[in-house]
Amino acid sequence: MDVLGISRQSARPPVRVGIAGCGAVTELYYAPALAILERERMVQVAGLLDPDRERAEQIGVRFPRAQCANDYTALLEQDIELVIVASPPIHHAEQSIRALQSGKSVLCEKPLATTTGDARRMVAAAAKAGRLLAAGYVRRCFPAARTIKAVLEHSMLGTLRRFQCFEGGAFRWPVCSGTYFERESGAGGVLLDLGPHVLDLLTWWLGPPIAVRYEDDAMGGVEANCRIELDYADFTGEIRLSRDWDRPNRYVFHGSHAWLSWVANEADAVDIGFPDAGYAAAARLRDITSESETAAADGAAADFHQSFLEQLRNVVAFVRGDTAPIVSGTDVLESVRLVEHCYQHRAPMPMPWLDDIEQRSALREAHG
Amino acid sequence: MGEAVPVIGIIGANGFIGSRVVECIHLGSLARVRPVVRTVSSFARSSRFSLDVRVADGFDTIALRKAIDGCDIVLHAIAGDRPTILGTLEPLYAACMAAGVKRLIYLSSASVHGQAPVPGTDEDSRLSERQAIPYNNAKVKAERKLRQLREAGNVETVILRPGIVFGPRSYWTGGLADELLNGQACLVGADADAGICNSIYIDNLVHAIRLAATAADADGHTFLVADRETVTWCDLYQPIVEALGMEMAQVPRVPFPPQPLAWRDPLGWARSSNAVRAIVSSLPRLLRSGLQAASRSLRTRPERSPWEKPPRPAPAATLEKALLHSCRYKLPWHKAREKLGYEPVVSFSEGCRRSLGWLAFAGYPVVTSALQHRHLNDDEALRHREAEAVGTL
Repeated sequence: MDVLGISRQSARPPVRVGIAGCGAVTELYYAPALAILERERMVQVAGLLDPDRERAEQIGVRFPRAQCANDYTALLEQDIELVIVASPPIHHAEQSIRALQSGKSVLCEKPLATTTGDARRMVAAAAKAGRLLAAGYVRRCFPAARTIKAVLEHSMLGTLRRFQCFEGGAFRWPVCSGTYFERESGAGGVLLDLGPHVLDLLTWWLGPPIAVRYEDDAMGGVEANCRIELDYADFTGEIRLSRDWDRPNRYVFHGSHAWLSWVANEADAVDIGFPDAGYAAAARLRDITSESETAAADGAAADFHQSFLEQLRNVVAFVRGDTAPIVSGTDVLESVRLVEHCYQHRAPMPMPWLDDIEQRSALREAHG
Repeated sequence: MGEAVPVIGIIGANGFIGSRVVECIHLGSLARVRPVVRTVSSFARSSRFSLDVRVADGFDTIALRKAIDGCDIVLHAIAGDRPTILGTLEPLYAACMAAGVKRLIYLSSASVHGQAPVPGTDEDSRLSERQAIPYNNAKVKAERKLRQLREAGNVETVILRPGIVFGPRSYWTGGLADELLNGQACLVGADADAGICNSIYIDNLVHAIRLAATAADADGHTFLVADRETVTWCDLYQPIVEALGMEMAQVPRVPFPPQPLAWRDPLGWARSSNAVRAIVSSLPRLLRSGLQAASRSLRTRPERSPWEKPPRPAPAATLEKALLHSCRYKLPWHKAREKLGYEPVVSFSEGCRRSLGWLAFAGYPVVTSALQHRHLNDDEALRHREAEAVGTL
């Protein structure tokens, strides 16, 4: 068993997996990870679906035994136990609920849903079917994220005073279709894209905020920039997300005794600074495999790709009845609620470089 | 174009200039905008608006033709390397002809005159394709190619030569802020503080583009466009330096060619210079191999003493920066005034103020006071310097 409680050895038949959505996230992450699990005989990819059949067939090259389905009904009719929902967010709820109702377990890529109502229906469908609804929020599997949770829970920085998060940069994700950016197609902007990860981690680490203020730069389309202010009882935080301009992707927590800085997506490293001493530790995380008092660090902790694989192993292990899921649908309900709250209470982001005419026009378009 | 609202296609709409053109023209309701980008991933900036964004590779005439269908005017705002600069002109011109576009505006660069043009330089000055900076040569060649295309085709062309375009998303604004925060910003050369920066705030360039789109007597012409004021590189740096809580005195003034510090490859600048390489390659073989052997020996890094901490990386003094910072001439824009009716619509200080506003928006640690005061050299001081500068209008 590893740190996440997953056994890697099994003589049981592989879990049969179907993938709904063969876009960039499937191509870059799910397909390579599943190929490894196929070699380990933990899974067999049995079905693939994408509206663009060529995309499904391209992914299918890695999985010769997988059949490309013509539609979602056909995918669900295949002999599969686990559906990975990696389609556009607007389809997550419907596809997950239908899979659960068909007796399949589901791993739904982030965001779990675009509304709290949908997310609750998904959780209820899983409970009714007695099947797993796991959420693809891979960052909760990062050694760095788990370390930060421990640091904050045990007040190792002293009293937390504020935090700032910047994430994003010039958009480079290899999306396949312009509908990814179309408001009419139910697409969101940078908040729906990165917000689920950021807000999920923050609520996991710190609990739900007591107040949230949100602004973005959508002017009739989808936002490329947004800013969120979060109030907690004793401290405040600011989140800045962008698809527009590169800034260091860092989360920084300022405590009374120390600060902690984490580079988003760097799964196995954190920096901790001690202003009184005048030094900071740039820590590369290591596994602890011994429960003894030797306090020794072992091998390197998992990086991004290894964490992604661990997430899949965890889900497969649960389907086999071996362990509890790391991130269930219920776990991420709060972050779904926060994203929805932000969109419902959005204010236009001030853009001070616009002239007076442009400002007025921007405000008009922002308010629809 | 008739009485209907003109449609302007922006090729390279996700770039720094293209994205601001889209923003200005759309929010100003000046025309209908058709952003054209190379890949779907480049939709992000244009998709803030409800616009008909199209995808077309700049090398693909058929895709470009479809993308600009119905456009009256097209702006070539594609940035890139030499193959991109030169390889996208012909496909786009052919697409414009096929689509019935009336006028193609090409964004060239004042750097066709070099980074430090000699006094008296204007649009009629001779251009060289043998400059030390490869980008300059590519732009010179591109302009020549476009003139050839115009001679053989029926789409009107207007070429604009902006200088240092600063503002939101510009290298000269955001990139400079990054360099300052990373300790990589510098002024190069002994007299860098007095070096003239041929600046143009992005909105002034957009204004010139709008005029170039419709001016009656502009076909086939080339225009230098610039800010009204004569400003130095210090003037450009100072507001950003101060906005980040620093002082101009903290910006290193570095010599060129760079001097060895703790250890630095003393001839690295020369090896990376195309001009120097061209000279070396023309030398006799024996002399060339001798020089190369000497260069190799200088490249050998000495062992660092265990008693010394490794030095921090020093700012890079590039040839381009050295030339830019040695400039002593304000390029004229009177031709644009006469033929296009161009007058800068945003003062340099206001452009700086808006740029700082963008830096704060983008998440830079801008001190609050920087956003409340016009703390650059005031307009009066700039006008005074303008009167002294060579080549002032």
